[in-house]
Amino acid sequence: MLSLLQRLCEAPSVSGNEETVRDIIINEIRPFCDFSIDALGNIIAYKKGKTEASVRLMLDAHMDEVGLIITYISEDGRLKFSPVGIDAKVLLGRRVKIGNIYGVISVKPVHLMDGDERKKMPKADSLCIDIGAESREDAVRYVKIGDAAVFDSGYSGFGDGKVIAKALDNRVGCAILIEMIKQEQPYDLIFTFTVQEEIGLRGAKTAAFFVVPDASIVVETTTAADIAGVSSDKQVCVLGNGPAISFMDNRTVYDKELYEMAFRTAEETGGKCQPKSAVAGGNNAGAIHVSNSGVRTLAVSVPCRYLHTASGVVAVEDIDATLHLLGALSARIAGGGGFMQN
Amino acid sequence: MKDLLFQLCAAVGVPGVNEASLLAAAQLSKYAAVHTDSLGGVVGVIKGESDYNILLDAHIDEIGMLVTTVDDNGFVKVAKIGGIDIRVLPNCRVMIHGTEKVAGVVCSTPPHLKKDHDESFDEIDSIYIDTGLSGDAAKKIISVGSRISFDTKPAELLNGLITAKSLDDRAGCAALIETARRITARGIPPVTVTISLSAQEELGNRGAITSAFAIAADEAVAVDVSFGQSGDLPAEKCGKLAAGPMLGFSPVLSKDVTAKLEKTAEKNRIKIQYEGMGGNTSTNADVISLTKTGIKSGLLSIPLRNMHTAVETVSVSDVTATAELLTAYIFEGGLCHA
Repeated sequence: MLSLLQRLCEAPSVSGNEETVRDIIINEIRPFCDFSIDALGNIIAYKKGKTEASVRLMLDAHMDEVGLIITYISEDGRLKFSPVGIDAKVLLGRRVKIGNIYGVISVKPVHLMDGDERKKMPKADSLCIDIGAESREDAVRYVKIGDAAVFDSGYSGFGDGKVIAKALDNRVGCAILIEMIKQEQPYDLIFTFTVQEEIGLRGAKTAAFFVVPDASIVVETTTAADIAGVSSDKQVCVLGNGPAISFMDNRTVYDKELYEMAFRTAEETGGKCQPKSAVAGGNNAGAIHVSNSGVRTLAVSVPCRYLHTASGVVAVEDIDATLHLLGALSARIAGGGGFMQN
Repeated sequence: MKDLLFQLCAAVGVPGVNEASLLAAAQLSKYAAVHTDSLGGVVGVIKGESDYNILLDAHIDEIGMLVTTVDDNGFVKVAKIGGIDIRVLPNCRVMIHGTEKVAGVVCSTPPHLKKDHDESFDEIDSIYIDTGLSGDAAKKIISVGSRISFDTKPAELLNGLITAKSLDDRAGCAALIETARRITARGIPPVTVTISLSAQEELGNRGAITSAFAIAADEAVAVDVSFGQSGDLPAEKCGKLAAGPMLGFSPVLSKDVTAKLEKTAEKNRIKIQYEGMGGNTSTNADVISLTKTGIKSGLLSIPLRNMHTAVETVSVSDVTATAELLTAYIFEGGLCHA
């Protein structure tokens, strides 16, 4: 699964440009399920289980990643951009790729600045990408307005049992769902790989409308602030403690019964999970739980340090624990065991 | 030339790590008699027809950081080595040189902990590096004093531009190794050439102070980098990329060496640009010129964008042109017959 995760992470797929990741996913799942692609580019996959499901369960992971959209090319050939979902503070001096073209986010030399300027964030609209073009005419031979730039930060093993890469948010979720599709499932499941999460949960809105699920699990990554200098009450979740289960974020109040079922299932199956101990962020659950006449929704997230930057960090054991939990939990929900029985 | 630059920049030369100097020594020894000096610099001598000795200097060291503490959760605190730009550090990938190499990433503030209107960067003493290791595992490999470098592979931009860490001053080192290659390819030069790839420039020109002292040079040319034009940077402080090396004019530089370099460029139709400075040049030329009873010194600077970051950028053509000019200068005999 890790080599698949690597391929998924290294694929460039900023919101609105999910084709590369979508092709990888389709190639992986094709032998194991039926699928269709909707008007926005979402993949909706139908996985046959051994038994018909009594609860129509939709598992969702978004395919897009944060990045930069080129908005203007200056006369001297520099590219202005709009950051998609990224804090400008982690942009200075990063290397990016636009298709096969390398670029760097320019930095004014520290030597040419006065005291305070040396530690101040430049205005986001003053940032630009240098691809080495000599002029606008030169640049437009390689880059168009509207093209997406992704971080050029490769995937590699990190520390003990961790990986570091761009786009772990949410290729980790994609990899987990692909793995579930490849496995035998006791009940029918519906999987959605959605577009445009990072710019407002857009793909999930149409996918959920189409699927009309009874229940949904959003498989995601979420901020782990278990880093030096952050007190334990502000860490949200911790790498190595299993998937983080959300009770509430800025978009969704999660279904209580599903929330509790997640912890119970982890305990009963010898797995682990942890609460996402903050009301912060938001994900496709925000669009899914209010779709149609309402969908009971849960979010299960792999803890990820440095979310929405060029280099995130996740623990491999958390990916395994998430896959383990989702297997048991989805069977329990889809099989109707103790849940939503009328 | 691009390959040489890529190799030199992929190697690490934060003071205390000798990858870059070993690589540079191996390259230079194809063309010159090479030894290493006591501060870690690399010196190569090409004997000429006369003992008149022209020193060509570039610095082999690069900016970086150093470990000051390793905490119980495997996070590392750091100090600067040289003038690293703190604004590029959040989320920057680095390599820690302990008993083995350990990849790290500089911590950045998670979004939910950001304060509104917080637009300043953390000072170096409040920055942590995440190693992904447990405290015990980290402490086995990393200790106080372990060096830290940027972890970026060189890459090519359009129009012959390249981007890498440490082009300041591997660009100069590559120019001098190429100069040595061109000199030996052309035959025995009229004067003796001593190439010094000196250590610890970023810490105050220290390597050049001692290497210039050891080398009995009759004159010298330092090769470093200077600000490359980009965006709205002040034009008077910048050179254009791909417009040739910048010839330095400053009270601390020798008018004779400078004039001869200019004349040589003109004679050989090598494009150069001019860089005027009111006093110290912030290069090794400042200290070489003050060695012993004084050494007439000139300065060539390769224009470079994004100085002191992991994405320094130069034009390969400027490095090649620098080597071309210096080779011609050597065969002119420098000031030997002037």
